[in-house]
Amino acid sequence: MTIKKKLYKYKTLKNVAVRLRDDLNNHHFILLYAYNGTGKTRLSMQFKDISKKRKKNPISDTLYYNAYTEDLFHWNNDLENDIQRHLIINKESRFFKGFKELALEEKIFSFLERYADFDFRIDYENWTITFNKGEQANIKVSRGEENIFIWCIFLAITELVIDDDGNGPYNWVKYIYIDDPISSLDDNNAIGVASDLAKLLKKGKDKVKVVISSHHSLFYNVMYNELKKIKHKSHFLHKNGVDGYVLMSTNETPFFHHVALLSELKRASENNMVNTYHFNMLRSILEKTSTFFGYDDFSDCISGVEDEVLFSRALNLLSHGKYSIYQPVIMNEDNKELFDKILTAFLDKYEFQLPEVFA
Amino acid sequence: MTQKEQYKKLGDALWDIANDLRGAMNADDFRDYMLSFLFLRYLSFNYEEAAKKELGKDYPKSSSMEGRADFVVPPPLEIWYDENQEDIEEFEKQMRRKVHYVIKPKYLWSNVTELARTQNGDLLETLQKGFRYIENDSFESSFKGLFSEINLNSEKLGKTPKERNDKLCKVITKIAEGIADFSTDTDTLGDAYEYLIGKFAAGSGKKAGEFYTPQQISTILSRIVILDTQDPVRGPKSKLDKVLDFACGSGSLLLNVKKQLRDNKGTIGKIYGQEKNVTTYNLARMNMLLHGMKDTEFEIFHGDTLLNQWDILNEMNPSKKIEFDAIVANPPFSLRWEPNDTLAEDFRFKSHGLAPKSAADFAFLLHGFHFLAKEGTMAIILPHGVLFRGGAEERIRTKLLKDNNIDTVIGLPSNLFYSTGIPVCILVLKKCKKEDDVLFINASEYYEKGKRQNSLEDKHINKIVETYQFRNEIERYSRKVSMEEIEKNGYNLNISRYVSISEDEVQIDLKEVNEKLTSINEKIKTNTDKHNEFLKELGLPLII
Repeated sequence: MTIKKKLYKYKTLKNVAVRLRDDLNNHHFILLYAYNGTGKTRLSMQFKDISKKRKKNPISDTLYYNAYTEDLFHWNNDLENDIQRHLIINKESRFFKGFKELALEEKIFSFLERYADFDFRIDYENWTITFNKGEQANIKVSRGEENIFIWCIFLAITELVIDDDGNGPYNWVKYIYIDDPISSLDDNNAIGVASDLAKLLKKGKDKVKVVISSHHSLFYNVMYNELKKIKHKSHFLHKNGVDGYVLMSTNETPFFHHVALLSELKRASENNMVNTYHFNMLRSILEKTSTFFGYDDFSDCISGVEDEVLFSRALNLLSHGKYSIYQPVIMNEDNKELFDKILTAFLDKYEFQLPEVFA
Repeated sequence: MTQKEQYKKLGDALWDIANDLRGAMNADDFRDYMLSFLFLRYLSFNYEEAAKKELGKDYPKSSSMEGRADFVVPPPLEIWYDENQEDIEEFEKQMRRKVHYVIKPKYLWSNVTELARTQNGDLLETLQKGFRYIENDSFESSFKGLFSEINLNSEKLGKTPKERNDKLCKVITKIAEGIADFSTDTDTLGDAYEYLIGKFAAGSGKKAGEFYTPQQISTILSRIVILDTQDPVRGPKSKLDKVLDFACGSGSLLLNVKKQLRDNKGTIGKIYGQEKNVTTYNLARMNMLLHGMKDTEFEIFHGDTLLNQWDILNEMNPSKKIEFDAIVANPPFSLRWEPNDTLAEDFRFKSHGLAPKSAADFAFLLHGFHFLAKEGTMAIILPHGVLFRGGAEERIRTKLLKDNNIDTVIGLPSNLFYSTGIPVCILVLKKCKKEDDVLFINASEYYEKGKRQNSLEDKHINKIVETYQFRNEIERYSRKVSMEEIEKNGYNLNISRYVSISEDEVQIDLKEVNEKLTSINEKIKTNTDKHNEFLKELGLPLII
């Protein structure tokens, strides 16, 4: 495999954050792909802290959306009476600065009605939100609905940031950092959310700079395709063991999670570096492929190939949760051979277009 | 039964039918069908009454055994049409002159209900033809598209024409039976219609409240704009030539102005309304007719107010410019809009400035204000943000204040609307006004607490209107604020800066407290002594 892409190595996440800010000097967007556990959320915090902690003129200039944002809301389930269920807003957050004066409800609702069929009401005195569906008041919404609701709040605020004429409550926002917005969303909503967000960001490209990081391949891919015509950077963020972090450019390459995984498996196989957790990855890809084709069982997608029964048994046996990515264990020779065979059979059967990004 | 009880009962009856029938249909869709049928019923009865008068003793006696007007078949008019073919043309001409419209006998409500009752397969087609006839032929002036949102071929009614026909049979029969006992006079039906619109607004799962201003708030605006502009103390004007609501929704605010004026023996020349949402626009036109307005007494335009798509408001010749004696509005709060260079040069905004993208509040305000007559009053509902937001809005606000156009700022309690809990205010504007101060009314604490929504009672409404009328200053409620003070505050109109509602700390008079304590101590002594005497007599230990 040839090395086509440059690798940038960084000792700390702070350095990565500095690099991202530098990229944004002459790009509108940065897309960042990273697996869970790489440090995306910490990176987003580092990113915003840079402007906050600098010696001269410390200000916050980043509106960010991540797991902490979701923590700005929490439920009061009225455990005693089970009637007055409502969501409590942490009103101290700058996130909510424009809530009261800009009649945000209609703005939020115009997003919400695309994804959900419930209504809500903000109590500006007590800073709570109640939900209702038709005549049912104070309903409890599901975690997914709650997430999409919070996401709609974020979209509404982003719209205000973009529309700001320098005097609004969000005029301090220079950067928007979106970190994995789609936890607990199904695929349909992930695509919907991605294209809505992309539309909004394209409109505001001269107003704010944006970093979007995700581990969700589908979301990432939609974002990439929507935004690729605008000046942007896209990186694959790797954890480089104890040595820090690696940013790898994914420019001009269609980015599919499963294809990336397959490439990585192929590379591992070719370099004789197969670890036990690679079996998990392989199985996960076979699962997805089977689902895609509508098969009942993951092994159906390698049916017809030689040693089919053996393969399927091996995958079942060897793909266990106990293999951790963080503590790689080299596979024993027999299993490694088996792994190579299955992988080759699978790749031969489906002829994937593997990008040569992963050197 | 008083009229108010009548319409409420009728409204509730209709609401029950709605709940009973809507099933898979959502409230919004059902509302459109239901209101259209009510409208047809109203038009029919009104027409038959007029025909009865017109034909006098020639009006045929009904052969029907049915006592309830909804079910009288065949309609007497049909009998008359059959027997007087050659006179039909002359008759219809007369009717157009008298009630401004014509309905063919077979499209009359009683005929429709009969088709429904007998589950006749022709119902769907008859209704379709009937609606089309009313839109195109009934009225002299155009009522095109009045029923455009009523899709009788909608999948929501049923998959096949037969299924749709059956469903309509059921719906119409239910409605007919549910309302047969109620009076057919204009006010009852019109008010019930309003009541129902309000109910639908409250019960809809969507933010449908946008087209409906709660009656109590609407009453405040109405009662303010009908008062004498220069000297409100003189009471309501006797005549308003032209009244405008440039975001009129279902038109109830306009009708309220008319009602308030009529209650004070005044009259309105013509009512003007503009509405962007086509369904709501049709609702408004029906609402006007249902309240007994002639088609010549009002003009409702379907179009975008911010883009000023209404021709009569776009007259370039200043001498032909239309001006209104009273303007009321409850525009959508902080609507996102797309101001551009052309709009910046627009005659409505040019001298004041362009509202920001994130909130069209001031764009609406300036639109209305441009068409306000010198002797006119404008009252508009807006979110509190317009009072203190910075940037372009600050510049517009400052200009209005310096020109002495803002007369009164009224802060209302929060949670009064269906669609939002946001606190809102009423701005009263005038082109020329006597006083050079601004009256602030902080009514945010005077309301009736409700479960989902707060409301205002008559006493709360009266207090606001009277304070405006007599420009009263009341502690912790209202105050006249000089322009100097407003200037000192950077033209920020935040109500709590001028009228604080927080209670003053209670002054404690130490001398008084001292006296009170002394007297208490004396009382204790007297009573202990008395008690001890009894104890002594009984030989029990004393209290020390």
